[in-house]
Amino acid sequence: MSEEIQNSNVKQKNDKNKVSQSYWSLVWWKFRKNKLAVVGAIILAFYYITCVFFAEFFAPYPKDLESDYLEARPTYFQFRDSEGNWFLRPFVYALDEQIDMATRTRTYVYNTTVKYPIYFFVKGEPYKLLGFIPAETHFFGTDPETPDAKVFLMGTDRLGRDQFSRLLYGGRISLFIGLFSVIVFLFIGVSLGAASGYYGGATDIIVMRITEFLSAFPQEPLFLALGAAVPVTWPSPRVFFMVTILLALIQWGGLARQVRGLVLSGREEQYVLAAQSFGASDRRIIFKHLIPATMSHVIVIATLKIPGMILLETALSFLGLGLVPPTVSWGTLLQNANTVRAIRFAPWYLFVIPFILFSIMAYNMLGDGLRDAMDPYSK
Amino acid sequence: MGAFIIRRVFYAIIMLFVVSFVSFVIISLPAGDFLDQKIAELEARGDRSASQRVDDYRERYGLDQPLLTQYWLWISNFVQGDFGLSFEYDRPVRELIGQRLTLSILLSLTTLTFTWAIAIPLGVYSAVNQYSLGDQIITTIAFIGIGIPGFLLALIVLYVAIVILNQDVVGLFSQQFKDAPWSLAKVWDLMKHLWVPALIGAVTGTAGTIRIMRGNLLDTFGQAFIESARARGLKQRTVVWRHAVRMAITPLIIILGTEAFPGILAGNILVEVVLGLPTIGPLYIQALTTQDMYMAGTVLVLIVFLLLVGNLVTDLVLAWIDPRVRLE
Amino acid sequence: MTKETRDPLVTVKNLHVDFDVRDGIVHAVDGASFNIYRGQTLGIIGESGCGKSITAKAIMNMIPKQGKVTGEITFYEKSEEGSGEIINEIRLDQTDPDGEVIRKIRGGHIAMIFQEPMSSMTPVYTAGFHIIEAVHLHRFMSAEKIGGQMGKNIQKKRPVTEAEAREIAIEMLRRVGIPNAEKRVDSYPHELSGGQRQRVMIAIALSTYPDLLIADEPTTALDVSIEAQILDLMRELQETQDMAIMFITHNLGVIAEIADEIVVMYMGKEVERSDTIAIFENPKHPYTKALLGSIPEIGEKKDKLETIEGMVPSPFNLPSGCVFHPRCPSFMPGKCDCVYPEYAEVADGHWARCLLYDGCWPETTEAQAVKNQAVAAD
Repeated sequence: MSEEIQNSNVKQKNDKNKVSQSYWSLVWWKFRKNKLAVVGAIILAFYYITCVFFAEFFAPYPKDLESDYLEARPTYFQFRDSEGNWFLRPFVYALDEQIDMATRTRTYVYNTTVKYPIYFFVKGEPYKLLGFIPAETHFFGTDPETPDAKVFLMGTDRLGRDQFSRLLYGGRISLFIGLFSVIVFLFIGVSLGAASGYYGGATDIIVMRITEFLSAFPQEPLFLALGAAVPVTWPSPRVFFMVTILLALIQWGGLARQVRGLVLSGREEQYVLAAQSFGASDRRIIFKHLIPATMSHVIVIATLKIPGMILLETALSFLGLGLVPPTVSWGTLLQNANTVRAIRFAPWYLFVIPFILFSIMAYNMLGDGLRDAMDPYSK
Repeated sequence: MGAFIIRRVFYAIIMLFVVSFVSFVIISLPAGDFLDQKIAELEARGDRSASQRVDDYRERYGLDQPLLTQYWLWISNFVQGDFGLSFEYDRPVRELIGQRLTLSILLSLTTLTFTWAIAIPLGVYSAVNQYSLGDQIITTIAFIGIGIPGFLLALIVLYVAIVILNQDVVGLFSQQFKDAPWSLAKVWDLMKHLWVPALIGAVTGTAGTIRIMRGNLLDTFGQAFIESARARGLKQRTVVWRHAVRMAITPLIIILGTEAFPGILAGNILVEVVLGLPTIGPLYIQALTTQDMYMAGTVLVLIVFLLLVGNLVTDLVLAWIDPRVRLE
Repeated sequence: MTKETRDPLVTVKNLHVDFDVRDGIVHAVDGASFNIYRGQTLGIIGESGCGKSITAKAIMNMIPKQGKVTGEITFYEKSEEGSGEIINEIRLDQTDPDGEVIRKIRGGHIAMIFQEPMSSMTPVYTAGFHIIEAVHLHRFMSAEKIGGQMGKNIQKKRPVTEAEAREIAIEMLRRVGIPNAEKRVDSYPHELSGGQRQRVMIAIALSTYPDLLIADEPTTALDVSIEAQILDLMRELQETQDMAIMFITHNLGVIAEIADEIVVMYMGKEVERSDTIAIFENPKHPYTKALLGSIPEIGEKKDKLETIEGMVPSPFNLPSGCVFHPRCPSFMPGKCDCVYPEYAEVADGHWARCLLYDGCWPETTEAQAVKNQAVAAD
């Protein structure tokens, strides 16, 4: 008899697991079927590995290492030399400096007689992996025995710093800002939206008036004005922090409205009414019942919001109103390209654009896929 | 209807006051003001009379007074058309903004026209020929386009124009017309330059509008009145355009007023900076960097003003186009 | 009108409509044959999803692209001069779905009204706009006679002018009983009540003097009192305009009132057809009997209304043999689940598809073997 009860309990438990898993496993199943979304997720994983976590390893040089080559053109990987021989191991040509007397500009040309082979997992400048593991191995680089050998995949800037390395480090800051500000954005939007929907009354009126006011402002000009108000004299971590907060502050309104709507409809659901009748506290009802019910919606909004955050930061820093050097972000790197002269004579500064665009597109693909997967009514 | 308009106008005016105050606070946030720098600069040059002039301004705009008084002085002049003084240029903001604002609005309207002229036919085609090759191409391009912000696209266009085509796309006027008085030739010259930034600005909006148009139209096709229209013997084309598109376009008009027009006006700021256009965008950015507060504040308030006007016009257009709204 | 002199307007022969959907092929209509005669009303009855509406759409050639239509649907066009001779036989199933031929018939010769009067009008256009739109397409005014002296009746036709179309619209609204028609002609759909909207839909349909009105559950969404008004209106207009009606419904009470002849459909298949009186007095198919058993009758006290047992089967997983056998009270094991009955005339003018009747047994040897076996077992 007791065994039977136990058995039925076990059975029940298993059933319960099945039920609670089924929504997310359905989401996962749908998500995997969406090729575009999976590609987006893979691209993003790639970004996070190369930029956010292991930029030190993947970048051939530290971000502030100044070489003697100033605004040098990129030295691309070559597999075939000027005599037409093919090589399995990629190499780069050496750069020769040329001064154009007429225009008084310095340019670099490939010296096709000097070839520097590229090695993988080479020893280079020491660094701390993930901030604490001392290491000196870099993903690729030139032979450490020949100090003249340099590889600048995407050229160098005015101080001779390797643009490719800086792009990886810059990605770390930009992707971080996107993620951080979305977290702050979610925190403000969800909590105020949930409070507004659950309590109603004065709370609701105040929160909704603020969101209306925010929506009356066009985002970009407001963000630029706020960015400009951040004192120039502040240390860069503080500016970074401030920009993150500002990004969230100007955008939470829409999310709060949506969460409010979801909570308003959720408040009338049977299970919430039941919880109330058992005497559950407001906090418990909000955090255990109402907010989880909005989660899938919120995840989608957050994913689709990140690219916008990244772009706003880029725009702000590009205009010199946000992050400023020595902080390296995609925005500050793009600042190099803000003159016609730079575009004409050093177009490799524009390499930052594909870096930004691919990450944006990957987030959009991922977000779109998540939206389709999480919508139980979609086909 | 009349009461509805009055209510909306009243609401817009209140909003404008709040917005102008907040803008003013934000813009005067940075420690110290532009005049401190200016005086230091002028005194270093030994320009006594200029320094005297600066003091006059300070008194006139109450710069040594509390923030609220400053705001009141500024806004009470503002409603009379005196937007204050640009410290950077030492000229009234109104003079500096005038033509630039006109060009900005012209650019935004052109952008909007492009957006709709491209997006609606493509969206309709995409929906009518759902899952066809053309639909898939359009949907893919729209998907990519949505992710490309105007200012990055402007940089790419600059690169292509300068490095590959060796063309000049910067600005809105050729050299010889830059300071010339208005003439037919100058207008023509403007037209020749205007389409580049307008097209750049249109990309993001076009992509979004195509997606919305396609989705709306597909929803509409499933409705009973479409079947009923076909059963009356109408041509497929008439059914699509007169009945389906007419219905599917209503939500687009809401977006047009509340998001598209102000979005373009504001979003174009960055494109204008990259392409160096003689519009308010570059002026605004410069004012923000140099803390030219009245200039920055004025531009911000004017943008919000246009946004609210856009909303109002949208409501009116909507009431005109959709009888169901008219009744409320 | 005796059967011999009945004048066919639309004939449907062995109609099949198949939809190729992701989970398989759905036979939405699986062998329907009937005639619609001028001036008469054909009722089509069946549960929802039995293929009634698809049959109607097939006649209008408005089946969605993914549907496949086979069989013959013929429309007999009469000359308009009143001589009554048939000048044209048009195979509706073979017309180009967006071509000129079918567009002239749709709305012009065959008009249709739908179940949802709420959403059958484009919300941004007035009632008048809809009528005028149809009138412009299908109505022509005879201009002054030319060549009248030659003794021939050659008439020149011209399109309706804007003012005339508006006149027609107001007149039509008045005829369908909309009060204050001069004002209501400029009303938008949301300003009209459900019953008024269906009246407007009828006005739109009838404004072109069609030969046939297909009414697809026109009263399902309406209150009972309004339903009666609408039915009266349709009958009245039918008489004045000499128009045929194809009335689709799941409501037996309604169909008894309006139809001259009834077709009963189940799972896309036509299971019984006869004139209304025969169907109600002497139903042949068990499904029809069951349907009739499920209507309450006044004065009769039953403990429970009879219901049809079981569920409507999935269209992807149809039962073998007769599709009704799992729910049939007269189910004959070993017969009904093995042999698919043919459609046969089991009494004078009374067709059915049921193995209870000898005529429905197919001539194939397998079927005959089953029949004989069953007889032997008895």
